[in-house]
Amino acid sequence: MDDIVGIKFIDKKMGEGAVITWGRLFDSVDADELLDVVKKKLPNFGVHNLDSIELCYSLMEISDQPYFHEQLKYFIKRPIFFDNKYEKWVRKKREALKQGKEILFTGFKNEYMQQIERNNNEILS
Amino acid sequence: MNDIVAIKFLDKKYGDGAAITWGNVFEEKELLKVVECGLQDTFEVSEIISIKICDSLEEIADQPYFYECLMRFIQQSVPTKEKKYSKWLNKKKKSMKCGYDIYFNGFKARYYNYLERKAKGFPEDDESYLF
Repeated sequence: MDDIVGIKFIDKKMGEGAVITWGRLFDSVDADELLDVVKKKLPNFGVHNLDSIELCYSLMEISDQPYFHEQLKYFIKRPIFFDNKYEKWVRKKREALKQGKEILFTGFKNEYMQQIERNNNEILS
Repeated sequence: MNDIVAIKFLDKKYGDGAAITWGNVFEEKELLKVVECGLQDTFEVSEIISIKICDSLEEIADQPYFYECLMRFIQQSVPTKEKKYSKWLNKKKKSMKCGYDIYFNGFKARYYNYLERKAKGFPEDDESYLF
């Protein structure tokens, strides 16, 4: 698993969505605990009918999501220091994630496309 | 050459691949040699047929681990003052020769294979995944 990961999900009503968050905090390979933590946060983003959720191959897999670059910026600004402070950093981030922090939603694709369409129609009319 | 450069290569076995590394540390020819060695030693990319420096990062923006790799470079600042810069340059020369600061973006074919398998619901008998 990478240090920063994409998690993709499908909501029965809203369709495809994704979040970016820290990887490797709970386990370096197994994503189960991380997915459980993310699941708890999803209702805050309007996900009430979760159909499926998965860890992505790489960030590339969610790079077409509406607010991907905006949310990625947050993580780029916060470099991980792989020195003796790393363990402390991991504990701090684990706590943050459990509190629902640092799980950043990249928006619903369908909703975004509809908005773009509406905007285009307004321009044309 | 830019501060951060993309290197594209073709591997006999795995096809299209790319790496991101520091530009301006070596001359072009030496840079390609250093990257090729780094890819072989660190990532076991051992059958490179061709390798080149890209005009811009855009050329490899569709590679699987493009964002993960680019981030590592964005997060590091390059010193602008001459004294600090030459110290930084020497440090990077040494680290690149040891295979560090050369980030492999993954193989495109492997990624597409994964996406294909996922679309099919990950059939367990799909041997092509193991290539």
